[in-house]
Amino acid sequence: MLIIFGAVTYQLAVDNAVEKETRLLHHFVIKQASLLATQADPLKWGGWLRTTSPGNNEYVVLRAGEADQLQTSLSSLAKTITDSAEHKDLTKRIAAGEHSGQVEFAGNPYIWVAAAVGTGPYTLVTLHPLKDELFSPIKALGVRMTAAGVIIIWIAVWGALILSGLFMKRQEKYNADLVHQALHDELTGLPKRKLLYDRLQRAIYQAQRGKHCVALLIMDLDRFKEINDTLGHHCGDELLKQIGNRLNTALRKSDTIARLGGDEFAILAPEGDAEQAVQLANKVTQIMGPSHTIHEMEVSVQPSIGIAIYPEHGEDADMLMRHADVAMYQSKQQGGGISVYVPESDPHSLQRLTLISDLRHAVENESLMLYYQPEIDPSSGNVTGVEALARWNHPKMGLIRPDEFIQIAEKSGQIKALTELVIRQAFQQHHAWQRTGTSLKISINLSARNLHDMQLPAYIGQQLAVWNVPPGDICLEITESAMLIDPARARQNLTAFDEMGLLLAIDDFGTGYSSLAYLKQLPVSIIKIDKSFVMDMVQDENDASIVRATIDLAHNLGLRVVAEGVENRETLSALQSLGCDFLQGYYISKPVPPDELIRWLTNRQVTLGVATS
Amino acid sequence: MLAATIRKYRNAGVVDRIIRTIIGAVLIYFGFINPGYIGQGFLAVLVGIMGLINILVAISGICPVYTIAGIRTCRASDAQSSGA
Repeated sequence: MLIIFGAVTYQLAVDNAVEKETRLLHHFVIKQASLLATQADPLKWGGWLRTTSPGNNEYVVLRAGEADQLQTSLSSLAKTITDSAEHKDLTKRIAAGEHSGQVEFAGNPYIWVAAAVGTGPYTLVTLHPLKDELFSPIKALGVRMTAAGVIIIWIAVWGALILSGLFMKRQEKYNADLVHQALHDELTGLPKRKLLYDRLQRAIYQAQRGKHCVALLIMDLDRFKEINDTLGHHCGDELLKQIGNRLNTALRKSDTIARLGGDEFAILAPEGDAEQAVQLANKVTQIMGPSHTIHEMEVSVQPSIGIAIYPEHGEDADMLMRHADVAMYQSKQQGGGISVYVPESDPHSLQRLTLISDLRHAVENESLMLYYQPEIDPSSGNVTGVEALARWNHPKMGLIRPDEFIQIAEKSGQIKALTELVIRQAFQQHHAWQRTGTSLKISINLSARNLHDMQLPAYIGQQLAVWNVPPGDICLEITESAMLIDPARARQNLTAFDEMGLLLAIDDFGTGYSSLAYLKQLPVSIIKIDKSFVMDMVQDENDASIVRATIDLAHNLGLRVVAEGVENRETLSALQSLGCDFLQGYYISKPVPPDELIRWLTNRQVTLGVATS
Repeated sequence: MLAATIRKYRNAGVVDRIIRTIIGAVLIYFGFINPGYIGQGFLAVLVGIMGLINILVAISGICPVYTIAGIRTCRASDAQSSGA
């Protein structure tokens, strides 16, 4: 295609050039012929004069001003053409009235143009060699194409540069957006933890050089979870957004306000000592004071703020973040407000972290032990069951209190594994006892988070089958507050347990939000009165009344009652007289390892036997 | 004032400007001084204009295309320090 196009274009160019040349020559020849008519000496003019009448002398006049070479060739040509066939042909064509054309003499192409000289008998014929002229259009074309090419390439390069520049700018903007997205919180537009960390590190470097302090505040919203749960997540999000805005507008531009996730915010004051940090925290509390309007609802939240100062409370960013966090938890424990990190009150911060990883190992290696505290039936004195209590004998720190490591397990997400371990070990123990002919009801404590673990019923069912434990021998103890967090899910799980035939008990009854509605609705069969009421019931009439009322209430609802914390004989007798179903406490036995329990049981039977006989 | 502005936006380096001067001179020769070589008048004028643009860029040291494309053939410090 390209070749054909090229050939056609080339031919057109050549034709055009020849035509143009012929036209120019024609004008020239006509002008010359008219001049010649007035001149005496035709030899002054270039061309070839011939008479129109046949027989007359013909002679050739060379064109003036032509190159010597041309003159020579034309003069030799003049001699040869008179007799040539071409000459005859040309003469014939002129006689026929043609003005111009192409002719070849001695192998060379010529343009010929003829014009009558005046009214005389002469015709001026000019031959113009075509060869040079033939190639000139190609040359011209080449030059023009080169020029056009230069322009086109120039424009193309510029265009490409401009386009690439624009594209690059767009890409840069896109990348910048990505970086911004990676470092900023989507909801509030505040920096994320990563960016805060970076800025904190820089602030520390600057403080090192400038010998000043850096203040880091970590803030948590009190009751935010409640707002989220009761009003919905969109309200919670809206609240966070409003808080972010408030902080952003009210605080100095040099401070970094970051959202660490959830309802946790951090404020970094690159040049602030403890006093200024407390002022800043006060300001934040003030800012948060007025209630927020969310979807036409007035919501007010108060922050708990923890403060850590460089270099007093930590030499690096990690340490500062951790200590500010600890301070925040301290203030939360004190019921909100502001607290500056106090190293003395946090002797366990590092220890706690080690404990978390140690606990993980302990759960994995099953190095946690179960102790069992017996429960007796006061009327018969028989042991009716035991409560399984996890004990962790830390290789370095010794025995760790359950409330301590259970809290760690809950906070570090290990509670599920821990509970499953306890269930497994308890069932295994039950199985072992059963084989020796001892059948004891085992009570197992469930944490609040276990109640929301929808896979727990399936796990328990599977373990019951594995260890061949009758479901009626297992009692699951839950606290009232555990059910409050997500009652619907808790109830679903409790119903599942009940359907499996497991016993359910409410632990620490009376300390939480004791709701009688729960007692009625939930598939619970046992109530455990909290030891705080039982321990002092002999001295304290109020406690005695509560215990009495609880026992009556439970009995009226068809529930059985366990009294925890029986520490002396008087309490035991009092509970016995109140008709309490089961008793548990140090007076009877403290929690003991399984083998010791068996020894205790044997001894007891002996003493009981002695007593009864 | 103008000189300061020019310095501020300068983005063509010395070698760049020398090359542009040579190219510009050649293009102006073919565009305006000897347009017969190209033959086509419009083309010749275009070539000449391009030559002029090159000479202008060479004199000022500011290439608009470089500005858009974000290219700089001179050291950044040249422009900034002399611009300040």
